[in-house]
Amino acid sequence: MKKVIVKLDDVKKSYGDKVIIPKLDLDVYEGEFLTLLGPSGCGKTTTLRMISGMENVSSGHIYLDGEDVTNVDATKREVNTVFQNYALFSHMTIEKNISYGLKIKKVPNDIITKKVKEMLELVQLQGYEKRKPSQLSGGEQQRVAIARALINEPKVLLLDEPLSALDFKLKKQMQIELKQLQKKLGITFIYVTHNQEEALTMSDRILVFRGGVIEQVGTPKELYLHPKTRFVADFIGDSNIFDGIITKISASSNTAEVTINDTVKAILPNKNYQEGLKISLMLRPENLKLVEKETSKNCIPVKIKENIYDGATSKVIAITNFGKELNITLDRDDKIYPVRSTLFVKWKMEDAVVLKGKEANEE
Amino acid sequence: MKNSNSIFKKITTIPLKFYAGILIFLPLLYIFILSFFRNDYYGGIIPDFTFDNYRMLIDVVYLKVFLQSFLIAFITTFICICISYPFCLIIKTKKETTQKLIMTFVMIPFLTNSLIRTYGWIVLLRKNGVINQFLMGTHLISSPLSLMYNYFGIVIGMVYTLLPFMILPLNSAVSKLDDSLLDASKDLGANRLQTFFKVVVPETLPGLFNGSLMVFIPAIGLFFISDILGGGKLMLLGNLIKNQFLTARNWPFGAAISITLIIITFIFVKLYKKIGGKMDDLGGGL
Amino acid sequence: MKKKYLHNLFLLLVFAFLYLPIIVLVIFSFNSSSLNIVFEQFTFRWYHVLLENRSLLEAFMNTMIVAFTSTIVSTIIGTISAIGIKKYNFIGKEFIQSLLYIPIVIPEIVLGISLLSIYTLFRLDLSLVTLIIAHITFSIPFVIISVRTILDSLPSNLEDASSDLGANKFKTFWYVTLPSIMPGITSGALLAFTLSLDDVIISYFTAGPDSNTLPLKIYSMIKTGITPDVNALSALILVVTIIILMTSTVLQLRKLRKETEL
Repeated sequence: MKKVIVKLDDVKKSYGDKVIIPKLDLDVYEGEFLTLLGPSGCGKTTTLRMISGMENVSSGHIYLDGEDVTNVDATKREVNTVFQNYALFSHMTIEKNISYGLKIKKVPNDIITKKVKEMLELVQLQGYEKRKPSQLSGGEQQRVAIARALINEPKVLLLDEPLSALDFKLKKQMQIELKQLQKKLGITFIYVTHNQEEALTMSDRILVFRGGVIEQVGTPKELYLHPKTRFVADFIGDSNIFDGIITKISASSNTAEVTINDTVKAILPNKNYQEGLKISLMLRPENLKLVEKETSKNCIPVKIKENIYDGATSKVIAITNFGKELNITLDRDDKIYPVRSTLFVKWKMEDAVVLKGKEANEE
Repeated sequence: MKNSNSIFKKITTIPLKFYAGILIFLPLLYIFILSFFRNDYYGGIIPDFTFDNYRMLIDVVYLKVFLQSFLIAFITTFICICISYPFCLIIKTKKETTQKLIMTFVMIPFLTNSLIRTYGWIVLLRKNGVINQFLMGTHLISSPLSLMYNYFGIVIGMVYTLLPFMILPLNSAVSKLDDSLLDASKDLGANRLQTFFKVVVPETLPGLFNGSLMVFIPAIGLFFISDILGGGKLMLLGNLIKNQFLTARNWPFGAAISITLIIITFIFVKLYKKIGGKMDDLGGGL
Repeated sequence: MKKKYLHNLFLLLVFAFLYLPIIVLVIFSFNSSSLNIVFEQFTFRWYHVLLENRSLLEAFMNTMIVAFTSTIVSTIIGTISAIGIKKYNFIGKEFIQSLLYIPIVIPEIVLGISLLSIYTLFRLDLSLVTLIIAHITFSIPFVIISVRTILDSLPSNLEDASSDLGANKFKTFWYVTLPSIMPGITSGALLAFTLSLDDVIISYFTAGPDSNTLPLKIYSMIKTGITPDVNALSALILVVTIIILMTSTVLQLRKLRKETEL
């Protein structure tokens, strides 16, 4: 059993009448890279700020390394934050920025000098001591912000959308650097982002937030392959979602038949479904295949609307006979059909993910 | 944490409340109340409620002062606009460092004492002043022109004192004007004048209004310019208020004129806000 | 080419208009004739006379006392108030904020007479103190706006970052907030100082008989008859302000260049 480093126990947060987080229970394990993922306003940043102590909880408890820190001031908690847009002190040199936390704690100067040197080495900014933040590139400023937090040897490092200000290429590079840094140091990272791609690339575990509630927790792979709700399916990766009704259960083959839009029949492995149950069926673009001949099951007639080639892959947007747009990713050797061709799209039974529950037919 | 926060809040808000309350709100409130009182013949104030002070403003003598002041303020504003637009559009074509340098040199005289600079105009404008001497010396004129102690002198002084107030906000508006906008207008077949009136003016309207406000309103009150360069012959609203407070000692009447001026100012500010102007830019343009 | 020539000519004319009175004053302060009419001979005489004119020097001292005191007080109050407005909500905040624009937009004379009235109401005799209070009154809004502009441009999480790194409210203010808004404070203070030096109208109503400032002194002398030593003094004041302003501009530019170069 892994050690729990941060524990949120029945935490509630509200501003006046406005409830941001109704109830949150969460265990964060030592040494893991946990991402809080969700759209803006979902409560992920509030959660982070409650862990750092910059925000008070309305009720409930927060434990850090087994100790109840609910009423411990932010200045005294052994966690540090890397802020959105870095929040570097622009009037101080890089050296002064990094040493700030230790100076405040009145650590002796010779120790500070030594540790600043270590930190600069760690983030590969040797020789930048005397510069001001404004003289650094975005990526370099980012590394200073990380060093400034890490020098205090926090038990947990909190990162609040740290990469959002960087351009695409730098973002990619920093994702890798951050992940490597976390592995090297073995410190727990709690990372907040609204960017699903960032979350998938770096995290050990992802926690999907929606409206202050955890929608689903899991490894990136789990979330991508087995989203439980339509929201998660939509938010992580591209998806094609069909709404349908279970119309037949076949006990012999242990399958269930789903009718989509009154016409299309799809077959699923039966998992104790009942006839008449409304479900949503999710298919990833790479699991859809374009074929010229109709197959009896798991097949929909479509018309090609657009072919998109983006270098690595070819994508097709096709429209079904009932007017739904589908995203399809082609394999390298798949044939590319001209626009307006009428074809069929098919999929393998086991690739269809069923999104169940009340949630399924929302929106 | 809570405690130090509340101490900090007290330190940062209490002086502000005292300042705004005692030094801005209270004096204006007092002037407002005063404007409904009566004065006795010895300059004292009798707390009887009356509209007489406002009624007096409609008197022909005072209406003339109002008209004169507004006319001068209007002409001043107009001339400032006529100088500032070309000025700002020209420096827009210069390099950025040159622009900064030019604006600094616009600012410098404005930050030195305006009364002393106005005094400089006497030396230039009077009958035997530098300008007349020069013009007569070059035989352009045979007898000296009267350049001061009249409207001309006052307007020169006003434009001179208030010009930077127009250039500054207008320049920040014009410099933000996208070059491609002007190109687009040209591309669509507009000539320079059409481009100016159809594109430049509408796009820089808040800046223009900001400048006009900061020129027009002070121009009503600048009594020392009409004193020095108008020779005290022309009575402006500023002079009228000054006289009511210092020589005629009819404070309630002076207060009524001031309240009227405040109301006029507020109407201007409302208009300015309506066309999308920001309050901070009014003072922040400095 | 011709267009550019015309453009530059226009700029030149505007600058001539702006600088002519200043240049004339400086030139005539070295004129041996006391009539300000024709330049006769170069002389330092009026500067010597000036040093002996007790009342002018006294007015100069008053001007400096008022300018320095009002600048210091309005900068302190303006700075902490700007922080208070930025950080906290309090009763009547919007009303107070709109009050702050009043000294900026209303004609100075109205502010002058309303302060005079309130002094009279409270039976305060006009003196250097009432004059300083008046100058503080019209300077504070400018300082607040100047500081708030910088505050608004700071990242909102700067103070969070400081407390996250262990600094309490006061340490955060001292080590992070204050140095970060320093440019706004200095430009606010500079503005307050020049506004104070420049003011005629409000001082006219709020200065006592013994607290004449230079502009007031010169104003009364223009009416009664100017002596050439006033030329010398005016020239001195103009030149000194211009030198101060130019140095500060050059220093700023140099600092800017240094920071972008490194």
